[in-house]
Amino acid sequence: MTEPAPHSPLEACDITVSYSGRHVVRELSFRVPAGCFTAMLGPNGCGKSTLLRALAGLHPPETGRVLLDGHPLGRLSRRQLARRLSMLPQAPRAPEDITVRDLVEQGRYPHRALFDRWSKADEDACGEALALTGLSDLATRPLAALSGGQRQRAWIAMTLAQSADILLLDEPTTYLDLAHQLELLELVRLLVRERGKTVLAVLHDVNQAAQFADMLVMLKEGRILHMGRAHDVMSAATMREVFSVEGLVTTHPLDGSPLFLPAAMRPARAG
Amino acid sequence: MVAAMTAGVMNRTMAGLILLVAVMALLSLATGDGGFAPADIWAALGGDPLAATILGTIRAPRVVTALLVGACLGVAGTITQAVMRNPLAEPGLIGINGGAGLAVAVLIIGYGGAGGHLLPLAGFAGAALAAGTIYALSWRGGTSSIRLLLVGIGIAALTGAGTAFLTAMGDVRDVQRTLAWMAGSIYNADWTRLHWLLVWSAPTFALIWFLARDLDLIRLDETCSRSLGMSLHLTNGIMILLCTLLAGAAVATAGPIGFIGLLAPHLARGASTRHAGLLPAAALWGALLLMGADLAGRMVGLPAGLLTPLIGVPFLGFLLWRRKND
Repeated sequence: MTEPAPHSPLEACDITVSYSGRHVVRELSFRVPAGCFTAMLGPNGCGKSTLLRALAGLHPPETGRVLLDGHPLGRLSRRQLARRLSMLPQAPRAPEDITVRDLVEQGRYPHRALFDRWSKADEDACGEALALTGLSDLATRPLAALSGGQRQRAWIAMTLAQSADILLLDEPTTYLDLAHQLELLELVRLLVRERGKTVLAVLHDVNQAAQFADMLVMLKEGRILHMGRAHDVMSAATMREVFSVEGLVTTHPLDGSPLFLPAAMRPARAG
Repeated sequence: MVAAMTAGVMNRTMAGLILLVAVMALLSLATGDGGFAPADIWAALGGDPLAATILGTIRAPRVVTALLVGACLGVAGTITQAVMRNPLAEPGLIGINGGAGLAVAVLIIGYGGAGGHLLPLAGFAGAALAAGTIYALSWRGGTSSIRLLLVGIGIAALTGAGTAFLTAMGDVRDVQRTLAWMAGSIYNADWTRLHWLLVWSAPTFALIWFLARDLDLIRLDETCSRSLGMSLHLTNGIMILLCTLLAGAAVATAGPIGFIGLLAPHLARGASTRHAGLLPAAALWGALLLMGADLAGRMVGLPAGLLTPLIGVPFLGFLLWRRKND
């Protein structure tokens, strides 16, 4: 495992983000670890997605600033930002007749000016994105004709064609079956290790996060409670604190990553 | 190789469409009050002054107007479907027809039938005003497709109610004129109006074609478009403006003609999945449909606007049926 780089390009400085009048993220400061696969964990409504959208510049914080290379996001044009940072929302929608190739080529949008023709660089980026996601042979198929796993890979391919070094993924494994979930996480790990990407992904499965991600960030009620390597932050105590779930943390017998085994839930308590 | 293959398919579809439009134009030119008479064209070309006058001042402007209005509606429909991210959307949803109808009713009924030459202007102004109102009312620090759609339905109901009120209260002859206008027709086309339509629509077509790539992206997911670097709200606004210019010009020229804005983009989908190909194909399909409806209308003595629903409604049913069976 590589040491996280000390200087991270993307950071949130003391941000408070509101969503329909409610403070969802509160006075939060966070540097996205560079060159790492970081998984964001936390109970529903803890502000994970909102934090992701704020980091992507899609939802400006009420107070505080989000910086990219030390510059506030607001100073960058959407296009400039898109060349550095790509974000894949949860369950994105596409028109029914669009092909995989059409979708992936949209990733080149921020790199093309109004009258620019399709360039070799565009072609190469799309070819590579398709190859990395194993979709080269399916490029001419309509997106609607693919399996859920293939479709999610096509969206990832689109964000890869964007050639940004930072990828923000909102629950990329949702709606996928187990095999496709693992395949996708494997792909993310590959992108980080071999392409030097920085990935921050919201995940729901804590054990998958521990198994695949380099760093874990645990959120609750709009605040980061714990952040670090899985071995350091995953314990019965932190799981109780963050998710209000009792259980024990053991070691995965196959790869040595921490493994959380929840106990049966007691009747719900307030708070 | 794949790209070359798709380009080949697209070029062949386009060539086929252009041929169909040309054939339809010739058929329309050759059809007059006396039915199908291709000899008229020969006579006009041969120098027969009567035939030349009929063709030059009556049939030709009518055929070209149908072609151009159809193209405007086809392109406007394509834009609406992309911006609304809804394959069932059409320019009427941004208030074009309702607004134009109300404005024309106000002019004819409210001002006692004066200013018939102002009808196109009133139609366009009404369309633009309604589209602007819908856009403004759906603005909450940005617009979303669903808000545009909902506000659009509300404004359509409101303008419809206004028009209904005027037609219920107005003088019978004025009401009849209003209703005749609302049927949508191109029987009174002339070169002057055509000239204005062309001057108005040609640069708009060019501008839209240059923005084809933005339309490709805009019909994707809202969050994706933005994170791919699009200033979504700005682009949305520009697209709705361009769509209003085209659909407004069409309604000003021919009155509200339904279904072409819905149908043409769907028929065009076979040609391409990109707007660079989709837009010209939709323009050609729109031209073909309206010329066809006008030709059929002349044969049975009905305005084109009454015939487009005859094709449109079954097609809409087919579309819904196919979606259900997907």
